[in-house]
Amino acid sequence: MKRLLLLVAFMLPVALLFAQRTVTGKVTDEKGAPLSGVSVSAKGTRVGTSTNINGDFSLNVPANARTLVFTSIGFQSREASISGSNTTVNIRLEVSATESENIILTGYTRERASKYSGSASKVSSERINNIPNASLDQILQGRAPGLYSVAGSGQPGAAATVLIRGAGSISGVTAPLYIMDGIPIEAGVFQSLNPSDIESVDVLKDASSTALYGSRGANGVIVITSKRGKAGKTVFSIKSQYGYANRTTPKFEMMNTQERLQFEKEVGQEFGVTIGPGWYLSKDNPANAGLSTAQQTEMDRRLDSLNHNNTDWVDLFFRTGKFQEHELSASGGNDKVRFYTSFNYYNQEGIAYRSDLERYTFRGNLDFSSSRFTASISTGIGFTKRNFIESENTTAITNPFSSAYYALPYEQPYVDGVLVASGMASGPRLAAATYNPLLPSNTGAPTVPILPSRVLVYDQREGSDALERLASTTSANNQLKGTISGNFRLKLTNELSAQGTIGLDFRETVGDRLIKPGTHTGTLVTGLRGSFSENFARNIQIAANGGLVYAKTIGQDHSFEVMGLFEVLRDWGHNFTYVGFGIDPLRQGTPSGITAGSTAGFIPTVAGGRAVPNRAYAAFIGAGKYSFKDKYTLNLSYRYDGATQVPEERRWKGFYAAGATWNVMKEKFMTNVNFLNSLLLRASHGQTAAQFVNDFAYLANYAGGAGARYDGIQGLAPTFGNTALQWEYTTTTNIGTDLSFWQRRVRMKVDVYNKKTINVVINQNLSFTSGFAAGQINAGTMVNKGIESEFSVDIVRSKDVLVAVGANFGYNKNRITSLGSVNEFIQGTGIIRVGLPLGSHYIVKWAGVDPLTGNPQYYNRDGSITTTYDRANQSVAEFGTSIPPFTGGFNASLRFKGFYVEAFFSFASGFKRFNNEDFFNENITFATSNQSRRVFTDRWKKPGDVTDIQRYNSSRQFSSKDVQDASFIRFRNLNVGYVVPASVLSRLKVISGATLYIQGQNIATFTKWRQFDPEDGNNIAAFEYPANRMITFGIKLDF
Amino acid sequence: MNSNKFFKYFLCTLLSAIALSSCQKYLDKEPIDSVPEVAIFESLIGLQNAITGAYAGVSPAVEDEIYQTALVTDEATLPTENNTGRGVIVYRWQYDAGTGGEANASFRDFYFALNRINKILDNIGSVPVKDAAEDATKKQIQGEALALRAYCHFELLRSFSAGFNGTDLGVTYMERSEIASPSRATTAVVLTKAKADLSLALTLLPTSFTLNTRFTRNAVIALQAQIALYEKDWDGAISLSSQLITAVPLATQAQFQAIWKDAGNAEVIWKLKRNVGDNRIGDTYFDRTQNKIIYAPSKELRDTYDQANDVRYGAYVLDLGGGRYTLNKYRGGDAANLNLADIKVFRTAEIYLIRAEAYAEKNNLSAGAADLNALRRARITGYADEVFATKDALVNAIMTERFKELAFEKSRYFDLKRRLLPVTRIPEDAINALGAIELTPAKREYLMPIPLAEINANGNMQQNTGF
Repeated sequence: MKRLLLLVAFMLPVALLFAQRTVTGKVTDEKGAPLSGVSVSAKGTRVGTSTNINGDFSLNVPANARTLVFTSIGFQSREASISGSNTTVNIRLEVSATESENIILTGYTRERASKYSGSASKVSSERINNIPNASLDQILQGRAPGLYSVAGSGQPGAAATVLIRGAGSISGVTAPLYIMDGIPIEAGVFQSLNPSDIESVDVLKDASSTALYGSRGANGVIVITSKRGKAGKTVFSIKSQYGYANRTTPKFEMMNTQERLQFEKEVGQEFGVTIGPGWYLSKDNPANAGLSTAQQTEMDRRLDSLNHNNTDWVDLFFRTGKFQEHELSASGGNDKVRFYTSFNYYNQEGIAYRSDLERYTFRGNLDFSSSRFTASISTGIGFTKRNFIESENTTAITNPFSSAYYALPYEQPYVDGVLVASGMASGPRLAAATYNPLLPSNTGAPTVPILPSRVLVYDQREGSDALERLASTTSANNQLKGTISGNFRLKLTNELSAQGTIGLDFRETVGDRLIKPGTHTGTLVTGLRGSFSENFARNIQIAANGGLVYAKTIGQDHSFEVMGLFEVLRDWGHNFTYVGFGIDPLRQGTPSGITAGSTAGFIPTVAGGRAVPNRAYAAFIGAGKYSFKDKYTLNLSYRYDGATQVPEERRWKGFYAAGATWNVMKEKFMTNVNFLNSLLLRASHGQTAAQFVNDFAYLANYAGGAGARYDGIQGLAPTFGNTALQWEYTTTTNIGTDLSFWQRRVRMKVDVYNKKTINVVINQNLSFTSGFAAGQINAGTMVNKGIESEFSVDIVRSKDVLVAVGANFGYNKNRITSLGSVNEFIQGTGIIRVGLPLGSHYIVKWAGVDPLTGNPQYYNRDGSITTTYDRANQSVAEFGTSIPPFTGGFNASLRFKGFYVEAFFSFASGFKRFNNEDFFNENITFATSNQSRRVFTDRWKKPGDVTDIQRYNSSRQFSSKDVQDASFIRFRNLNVGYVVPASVLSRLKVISGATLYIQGQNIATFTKWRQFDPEDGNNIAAFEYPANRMITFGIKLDF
Repeated sequence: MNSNKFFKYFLCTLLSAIALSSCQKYLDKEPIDSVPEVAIFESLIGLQNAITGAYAGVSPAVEDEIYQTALVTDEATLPTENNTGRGVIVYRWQYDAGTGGEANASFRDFYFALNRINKILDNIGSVPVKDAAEDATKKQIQGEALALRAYCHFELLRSFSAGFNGTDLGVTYMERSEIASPSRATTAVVLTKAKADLSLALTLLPTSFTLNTRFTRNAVIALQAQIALYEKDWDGAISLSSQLITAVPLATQAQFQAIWKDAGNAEVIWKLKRNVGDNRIGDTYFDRTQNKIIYAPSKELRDTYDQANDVRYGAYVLDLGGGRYTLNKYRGGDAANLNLADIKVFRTAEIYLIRAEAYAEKNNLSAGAADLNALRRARITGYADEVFATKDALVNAIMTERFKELAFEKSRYFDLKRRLLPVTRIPEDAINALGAIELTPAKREYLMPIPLAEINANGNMQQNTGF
């Protein structure tokens, strides 16, 4: 080391002795406009500078310098010869739309696509920035082949379920690792991140690209890069977007009032049961035969009055959600310092009452560069407030989306402006409380006089109760999230650099819930006077790495790069909840309104912990790259990873990948091949692993909680631990090609992969006698094989007109190939079985309705048909999987002068979901709630009826009838806009750029799926919050 | 150059070694919110935490059992206003091993509790004690654990055995905590082991320990009396019952009403305490949130009471008006916490009925009638003693009295199963039963299925016939 420094010290004055000369020049863009901040360096030396605001530069170069290199982000690099006496170099740099696509950001390194053996897809800023969706992960749907992203909820800001190349685990983590500006960030926490700040998202899929992440890389890595400032004139931008959201067009077909009353009457006549006033008040009801004419007239009158109610529950629970977004950003700098900063305000109302999201985000990114030292500081801070609906994703009637189905069409929620809910002890409901015509003992003639001045209720008040709940409670959270990171690189010698990254991902979510005192719901909690609870959760991830990079080119042909890093990661959480009771009506929604610890029983409850998550990693990372003549490149990566998630004996493990690329176009035999513009072949192989869901799953513990509390004493109860637990190892082999032809107007990328995961963590069912229902073991082997492709074609590409189409798709075949000592595990209505894909449905096969009796029929396993239902002995796994094998998206763009149209579709196909909604809406057990129209129109009535709806009073069971195709194609985005030409703007002087657009989200959905929405992240539909259809109008101005 | 190289290597190795060893320490993390299992049995405090956890495990299992037996029998009826679908599969006798989880949730929960209990019994030997007082506490905890183990197995046997003859297929008796695939033992084996545990428990439980929320000596004797009844050991049943009847007298009418408001403990030998914040057992029968009766006391049951004079009617049934009757037993005594109620496991009334039945079976009709009349006298205002001419008449009267006295206390199903009597529902109680009006012992649903999850996970577990 010392000698090296000495050598340098010696050489410096020696170098000064060499003759020097000054090279000057100007750098412009294609149109001749000066480019500032372009870095200019003499190849093979350490001299360099950058252009000034006029694009001019002046550089003293050693006499032996032969070539100048010009580089600038967003432009293609160029080299210019300065041999001989040439001292003036004027050069034009070409903007390359595809330039950013040619650089792959892996989080640790920047890789040129032509020399990168990994499989990666890039989603660029224009596909992310202006989408009116608060969740970055949702925006990625259909944008990268092999990446499957679905929202489980239409609640603004909801996280998506994201899978890359299929699910890699059965009971472990399947979500990818997210890296932002060099540091890991929490998966599924994007509500406080502004998508407009994102420059690119790189989706890393194979071992070559993820092995640097070792034990966290197996599910793929999503590398998010925020926008950086560009040198030159400071540009201020204002962006505003306004819009509104409505529901998509659901296949919602429930009975209307006339149908419902008729249905009630029919089942009353046929089966003698009373499920509503259609029969109870009917003249044809034998129980009413003895009534006086006056009483009969009264009943007719009531029935007639009900007949005129037709409450549109869907309208009552959905609304038009308003949307607005405003952003102010500034970007600029010079050759040394550049900045990008933005402030964004985002406000979206959900399409269900009460649900919304309001967000403030700030970003400040700063870059410093000198000839020896570069640094990037990235700071993103967001604050989000969200309000939620009640009982989201449950079948409870308090969930407005289930009540919209359940509520009877003749139920009138308001009487004289007062909401009549079932639990109300006073008010108009009073009469009904003492007289409920739906009770069995009252199925005959009324025995209690009906008081005409009071309201009589003939329904279950399911819609009204949901409305009451909506009004008497609140559910909200607010989140503060900060992601701060710094990347540094110091050039020690020409070849050797030191580099480091340090960062913090911080998130604090405070949820609160008020149950208002003085409401019906408020009387249901301890103390009968409402409650207020707050839930506080903090999550901190700290990451730091540092090391050396050595790069050297020997001669013209051999270039090497070796990197060695040491990294530590720490991730820990902290959470706390309290619920206080006895709320002061004058101070609702604050803890100060709680009556604490009084003898009246208002004792607040508390819970929380200090350790979810609680994990740490340490790792030694090595990567090497060798290129021969830029033709053949070898990529090697290794990570020796230590993690707290596995027992001590298995804590350290090495992960690796090796890959190679062959740039075929550089071969001599290709020189005459003119139809191809580029052809790259890639191959890689390596091993990675995935994190565990729980941090100390291997430890048998004693834990507390409500389940261990008895007689007011907090005890402890054992938890399952498996000291043999170890990583799930995923070995991936990937072969791919990137090619372009027709003057690069057709660009294609194809990848084929085989991903095998061993030691798959399974929640093995245990005999209950062991004290646990299941325990985690490493027992499975699973294979994901697939093919991915993306291509884009510029059909017309001229100065004024651009017509382009593109598509991407991924086909992933998932198979469980081993489960250790057993062949299958049954999990509810699903099965994990060797030879089948993950997510396979497992249920009794539906054999239709017997036309003679109307009984539901099922297949026995031997193929015979029976009316006996026996889930244990009849269930089969013939109904496919809930995880779509085939996913992707396609887009088309059209540009004419300043006008543009961009359309984007996403799709997922080849999967089925359990339609639990049908189970509820076509079931005698729930017949006092509203039922599907099909039950009215199609139900079996008499021998000979051929139908799919069984006899009314037969028992409805879970069967394959409810396993339904959920494939969909979604017209996800349409953007029509106008970019005001510079010639117009130049007259305005102040404004340098203006774009106006109108865009729509989820414009149409093509699916066989009934109910509100096919898109969801799980296998069963249970009244989820559906996605919205949003129309927005936007304007962007640059100054 | 050589020395330089050596220096470089040396430095690298040294740095790596330092980094690696500090990494080892850096990765030495432990859970914060829980305690490693080994640490639990290193102190009496840990042991006390574990026994509390064991009771906490038993409590939901008993709640499951009460619900399961109410749904299956003629105690409960499904009112039309229950449109939640809860429990309907079991109420309609449509369950199989995989559907209608209410029929066998107690199987899972009792074995979960047994693991908590067995871990205590497996490790209690190693718990250090400082003095005689601590040693007494340790012994008491061991006695409680043994008694709980016997209790859980007896309840499992009552619910899931193929019958109560010694050779009938019983349930697995877990004597230690282990992850295994055991098979079922016969009823005789289960009862023998349970009795052994109880005998040992009696030697450990101090007479000074009388907290009726825990398993005391009296509770052990009550369980021994129950077991004797199931074994048809009439003499044993009589002598055990007699001990308790002397020790714990019947409640007066006022005291009786207080029991169900959790305002009094007369005649309560053991109850599972429920505190604010715990599950409210009454929520199963009456949905507070929607003022909806989920399962109502059947008309058949209501009609058995002398409604005007029998204190039990008002304590058990609440008339909401308009023909709506709901279960009052589990509404609790705290208006601010409706449906929060303690679960009474052993009451003196049942002990009287055990002794009455044992006397009747021994053809001692007068002694049997005396016990039955004593109970009725305590419950019914103006009751005149009844005289029974035959053993059958007395036994039938005792059965009916058990139905009335122990309604929704999980006795009904076991009493029918014990005597191989069918479950029958009157038409008024079967409006929503889809034809489920008679469940004879010949039908497979007469026995509760072992959960499918258990069968799937444990190849040695025998299923009850027909499932």
